[in-house]
Parts: sequence; structure tokens; C-alpha cells
Amino acid sequence: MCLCCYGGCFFLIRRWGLPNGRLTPDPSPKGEGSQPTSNFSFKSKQIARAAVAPPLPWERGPGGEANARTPMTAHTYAYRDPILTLNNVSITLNNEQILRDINAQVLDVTRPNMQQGQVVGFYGRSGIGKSVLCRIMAGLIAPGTGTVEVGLAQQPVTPGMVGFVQQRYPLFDHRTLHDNLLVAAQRKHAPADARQHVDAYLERFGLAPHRRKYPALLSGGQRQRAAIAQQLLCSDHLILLDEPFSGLDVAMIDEVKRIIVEVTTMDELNTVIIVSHDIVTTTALADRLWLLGYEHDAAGALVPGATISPQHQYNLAEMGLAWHENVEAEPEFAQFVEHIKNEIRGS
Amino acid sequence: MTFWFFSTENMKSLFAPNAQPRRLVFTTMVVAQVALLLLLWLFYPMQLFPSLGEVVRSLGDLITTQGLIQELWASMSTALQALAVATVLALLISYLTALPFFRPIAYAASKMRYLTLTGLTFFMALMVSSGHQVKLSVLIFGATVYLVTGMTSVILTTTQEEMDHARTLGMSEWRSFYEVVVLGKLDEMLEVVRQNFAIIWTMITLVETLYQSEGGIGLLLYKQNRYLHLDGVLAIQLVILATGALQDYVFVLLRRVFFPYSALGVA
Repeated sequence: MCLCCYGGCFFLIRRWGLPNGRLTPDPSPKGEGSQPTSNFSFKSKQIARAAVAPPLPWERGPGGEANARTPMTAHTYAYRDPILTLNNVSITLNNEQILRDINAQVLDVTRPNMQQGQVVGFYGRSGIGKSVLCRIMAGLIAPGTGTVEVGLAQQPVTPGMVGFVQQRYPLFDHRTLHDNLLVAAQRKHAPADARQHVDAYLERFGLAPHRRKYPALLSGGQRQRAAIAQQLLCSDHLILLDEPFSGLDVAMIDEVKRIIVEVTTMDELNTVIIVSHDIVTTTALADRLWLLGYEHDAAGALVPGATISPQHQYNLAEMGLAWHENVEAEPEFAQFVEHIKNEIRGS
Repeated sequence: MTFWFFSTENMKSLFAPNAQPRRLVFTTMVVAQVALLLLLWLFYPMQLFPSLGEVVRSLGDLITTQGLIQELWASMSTALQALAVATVLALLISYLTALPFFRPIAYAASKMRYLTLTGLTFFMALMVSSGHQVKLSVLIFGATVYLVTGMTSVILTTTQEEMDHARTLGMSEWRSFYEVVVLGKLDEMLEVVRQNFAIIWTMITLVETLYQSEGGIGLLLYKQNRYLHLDGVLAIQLVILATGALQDYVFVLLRRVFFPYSALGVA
């Protein structure tokens, strides 16, 4: 560890490296619930670099092991209980293997003196099976093999346990905005409580002036906020966004990002799962990432079914790329995005 | 006023594709078209076609001496009864398509619109007692099969996204169906009813000629046609046309009142 002085404060930078120069790999899906990490707040761009450029943190060995490299602007955080676990999920549709042996686990991340929910991302090229994965995680279709478990009790997922905001932000067109939220809130709360919750969400999401409007009269941004609020009102902390940035302009993307940050700071357990092919925006928000891709067999032939290889699991918190206000401006972020792009091109 | 209407801007808005002329311009255009049609009818009568004056005179005669209004009311009340029963039946059959067991029934009901009414009335006459019942049951049957066709096609427009949306809110399959298909598409069902109401008017004239005991505007039309009173035929046809237009307007009004979201977002 080294101690630095920056901006009048002391920051502790903890080297990732183990004594032999190897690093702890990206936490495995199981058994990291109590794994603490102790990187201290470090807002500097002056990141310690080795004299001879070593491999970057996201560059891994063939077995998926991480490489030695000083983490970038890392915040103090720790992992607790699992919130979502995908265990060997595979599915075949119309005799075509779509997904194969998907393993991933979302853990409750905690940061001192603040409510910090989770933002995790699943990347993948168009048509790779991201929407199918979304529907599996939302409990809308059962995987051919494997399980999806959600919540602190790690129960098998059923529809309604995970909020799922689909690409086009569907709402009930025959109900006003208030009634759309109310019908969702009544799934979980008594009528009087439900009304109070709806009023609170309308205020929190800046939708109160539009409460009597039908969805057809809402703008794109208002519709997005409404759809997210509706799902939050009846889901158990988990919310899944399928391509939330698709077809949006810069201002709208900023708006969605603001909403996501808002959601994750509302409750410690709130978890936003972004399934997207928008690498930059998703990376800027996420603290964990998984890259869906295809693998090749020993003969070099493509193995059917998209999967998540060990080297395609990224812990952005550990890399020091999580929870930065303007992370896109950081050179390490750009390098990481380039790395992801290359991985996608090669998959 | 006339010159204002013929301005380049207004003309462009009337003849450009997908243009949206101002309300006043559009109304003026409709009034002008109707006036032109009436003027043509008034001043250039065709040999076989009764003149406007003859039709108006005939209409007056039909109202005062042959009880056109009463006959129209009789037909209208029968049509409304048939429509109400047919709508309930068709909705029931269509909604039951959610259950695979009932899908063949909806399919068969939809295909029965190809049956001719003439043979059907015979079977209806065997099954029910009075002429009114026969008329009503034939109309109900005829309207139901058309309504089922329209309603099932509305139900088939339900997307997986819509159903998934309801399911992700924790709704059961029945509750999702009720929210998305029953409540969500009620306005479209009303539109199907509006469109198919015309079928009843087409059938009612035929049915009333087969069962003449209760009269009705269909029977009146039949009699005028039989004695080659073309002015009377035309007068009755115009009355039916006006009634239909009024009905359409009432349905549009009902849709606006009960389903205000329906017209939103329509191009």
C-alpha cells in the first residue's frame, strides 16, 4: 500500500498485487459474499503507473486470472449477500442454442456512509441473445437448464420478482399515468399505502404535473421515468433494463443515466441490471460487467450458444472505474472501452 | 369568402398527400361537394333516376301516409336488440380464445359468415316460435359471426411485449389477460361493433321481407321496390344512409367519452 496526499486529504491506494505479483482474480460467482475490499477514495487522475507498462487490470490470462496493476480511482466498498444468481443457464429455441452455461452473480455492494445500490451490465452484440437473457432473468421464460435465483433469500425467479423495463417502455395506454403506477403499487401495498407510494414516486421522478395524462401524451423521457417507476413500485429491488439507451440522443441518455443513479441510491438493495450493446454508457454506470460472446473449440470452430467466458467478467469497482461522476473523461476508461470493443470484435 | 377558399395555400392543403387542412377549409370543401352533387341532381336529372323534387315529395308521402318513422323505429329497435346480444356473444366467444379449448369455436364462428341467410331462416323458424324471434335470431347470428371475426383479429394484435409488461408487474395470467386484452382493447372492440353495425342494416331489409308480420323499414323498401316506386326506394335508402351516419357519429362520440385515450397518438 502507499499513502498519497491529494487535495489536502490522505488517500490510501492499495495495490492489487499479491506478494508473488499475481492478483486475486475477479470474484467468482459463489463465495464472495463476505469478501471485503478496502480501496480508499481516490479522486485523482494521477494514477501510479509502472515504469514498464504492465498488462492492464482487465487483461487476463488464459484462465481468466487478473493481472497486476494499480487500480484506478477506487472507492471503498465491500460485498455482502447475493442478490441475483445465474447458475449454468442455457436455452435452446427452435432447435438453436441461444445461450450456454451462463454463470453470473450480482452481490450487494456496500459503501461507507451511503446507500449504494448496484448497477451491473450485460454486453453483447445485436442478436446474440440479450433479450432472451432478459426474459429469463425476469422469470418470463424458463431456461432449458440452469437456475436463476433472486433476492436475499435466493428464491427461484418468477414473473413479478424482477422489474423488467422493455426497450419501448410499455405502459398501459388505457390508464392515466397515476393509474399506471397505482395498478403496480397495488400488487404490493394496501390501497391507501399504494396511493401514498404512487404520490411519492410521482414526485421523486418529476412526474407529478403529468399524473392525469395518458401515456400517449408523455414525452419519451417522461415515459421512461414512468416505466421505471412502475416497475420499481412492485418489484423487489431488482430492475432489469433492456437496451435502455437504444435510439436516444445525448440529452436523453443523460436523463436515463440520472434516473439509474437515482434508483440505485434510493435503497441499499436496489439493483439495476442493464442489458445493452451501448458499451460506453453502460460501462460509465456499472460496477460489474459481463460480456456475452461465443467461444471457439480446440479446432477453432465456433461453439453454438453465447456464453460469458471467465475473461469476460469485469469488476469495475475493483478496477477503480466505478462510481465516478465523469468517468468517461478518464483515459483508463477509454482504454477499457477499447479493450471491450476488441473483445467483442474477436468474439 | 369564395376567393379565400381557392387560395393557393388552401388548395395545396387539400391535394397534397397526408396534408392536414384547416378545419374550416375542410368543412367548406365538404359543404361545396354536397351542394355540387345536389345541384347536379337538381338540374341534370337522368332518365331512369328520379329527380330531387320527386324524392323529397315521396319522402313526405312515406312519412305522412305510410308511417316511415314508426317503421324506422321498429327496425332500429330490432337492430339494436340484435346488436346488443350479438356483441355480448361475440365478446364472450372472442375472449374465450384465451383458452385453447374454445379456439375451434371462435374459428368456426368466424367461418360461418359465409353461410347464406335464406337457408338459415328455415332452421331458425323451426327452433323459435314467433316471427319476431326468427328475425332477431337471424340478425344475432349474422352479426355475431362478423363481430367474432373482427374481435378475434383485435385480440390477435396483442403483442408479447404487452403481456410481458403485465406479467412483470406480478399479475397472474388471467389478470394480465384482463388488463391487456379486455380493458386495454375495449375501445377497439367498440370500433369493431361500429363497423359491423352496418351488416345488421343490410340483413334487416332481407329478414323483414321474409317475415312481414311486424313491418319495418325493410318491408317498406320491399314494397316500394316491388311497385317500381323508385323515388320512394331512393327516399328510404337515403333515410337508412342518414340513420347509419348518425349511428356512426354516436359510436364515435361514445368512444371519445368512454375511451378518451383512444384517439391520442393517432396520425
